[in-house]
Amino acid sequence: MIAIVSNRDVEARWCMGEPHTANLVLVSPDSEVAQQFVADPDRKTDQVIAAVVGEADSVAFECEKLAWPIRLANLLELLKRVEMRIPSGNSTSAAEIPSAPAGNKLVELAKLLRDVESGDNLAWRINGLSDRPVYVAPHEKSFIFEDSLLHLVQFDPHAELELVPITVGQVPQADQRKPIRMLQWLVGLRSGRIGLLPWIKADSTFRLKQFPEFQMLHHSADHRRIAAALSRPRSGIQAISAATQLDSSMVLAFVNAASLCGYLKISDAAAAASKPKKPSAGPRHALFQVFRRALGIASNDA
Amino acid sequence: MMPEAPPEAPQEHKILFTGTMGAGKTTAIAAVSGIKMVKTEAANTDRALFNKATTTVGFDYGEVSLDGGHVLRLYGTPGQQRFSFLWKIVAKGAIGVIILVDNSRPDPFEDLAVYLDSFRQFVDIGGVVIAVGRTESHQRPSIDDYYQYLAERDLMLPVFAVDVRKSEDVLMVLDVLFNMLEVSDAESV
Repeated sequence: MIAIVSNRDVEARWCMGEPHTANLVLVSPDSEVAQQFVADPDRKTDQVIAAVVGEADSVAFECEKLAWPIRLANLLELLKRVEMRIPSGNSTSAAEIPSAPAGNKLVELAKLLRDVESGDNLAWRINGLSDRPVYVAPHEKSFIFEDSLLHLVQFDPHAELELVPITVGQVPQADQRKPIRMLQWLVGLRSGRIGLLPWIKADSTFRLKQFPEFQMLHHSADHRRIAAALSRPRSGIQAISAATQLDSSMVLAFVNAASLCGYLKISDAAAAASKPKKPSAGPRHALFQVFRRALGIASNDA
Repeated sequence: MMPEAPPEAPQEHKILFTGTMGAGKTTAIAAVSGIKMVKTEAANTDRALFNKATTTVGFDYGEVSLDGGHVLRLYGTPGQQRFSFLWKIVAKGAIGVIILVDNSRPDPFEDLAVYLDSFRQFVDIGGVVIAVGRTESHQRPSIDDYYQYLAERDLMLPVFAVDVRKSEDVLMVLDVLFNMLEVSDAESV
């Protein structure tokens, strides 16, 4: 559900829905109505506000930004970020990085996917991720889902899942075999909504062993940003959050996903990490944003 | 009344696409260039090396217009190693390099080594992304093998299996390069 409040040029076309129940509200930053709406104490706490801004516009309140004129790629990118933030979009302090409860079914699925090895004679049928079951075939490092993957992307992390062991012969001989890393990635990202996977410590040192295979994974520009930051060792979720200037809920979802896929090296050796630096966008950040805009690459700031 | 600031002179920024003959440099630049590409192609006299009719002997050129009259220039180096003297000339002033590797070649790692060594100054600042093509038809070495190879050289650079005919793949690679350069900038502040 999207509601747009008082966008100066396109009010009639874009104003739709009921903003108080919306997950994402696009606002014009200089609109009085919008400012009143943003300041409303009764507003939903997990609601994402995005200001539609031109290059010269400044925004008086803390929010997401969407460049005007709106490019489809930027809008889709924003929607992806909203999808990943709701309902856990609140900032967390170092002591508040939530750990997913060990008994949770999604954590059990994550553990299963963490431990899959090729040559295993067992396969799995997962019920509850979508209307159709997902078959995990470790012996082929693949999974089978006989529907659009878009239905899997948004599965409910609190859904009641059923993990049923089956024999390799019971796996359907379908054409829709996908690399198991796609499922590991999705489950990792979604598990970020309930917290850091229980076997990962928030204060560990993290570094990528390899970059996520973005060309095949459902991901956002923020994930590319986190990946680049993790090309160097970072001590703790908060350090990654500071380096990327991204919400820690986004970071821990990435860490869960990258960890399940085997992209991440996690160690307790904090001393090996570089000294934490003051968060800085870098002198050429604005230049790269100009490149991105010209190329039509979605980004997280306008 | 404050005197009006003089308009900022248009600036040029350069990104390099390099790699062996047939790796897809021309195609990659064409996928994102805002203008019709300038090509310097000639008949390929190395048909034994790579079977295509023409190859780049000078450099390929594409560009993307930026706000304020600035320009992002995309250069493709000639693939044949006998033109390697041109690589340094074309690389002068570049902000980053995309190394395209053709996985169907006899020894892709040997190819990669040539470019890692030739563009060492960009490797050292994290200004390199490696894009591997033809991985669907030639699955070995795998992308995991590339990371293993880089780790043996004590390097951590992004490696992606890409299809340079798809603009989204090329744009993804470029965005990762921008992010890597931003990380490098932030660390050096």
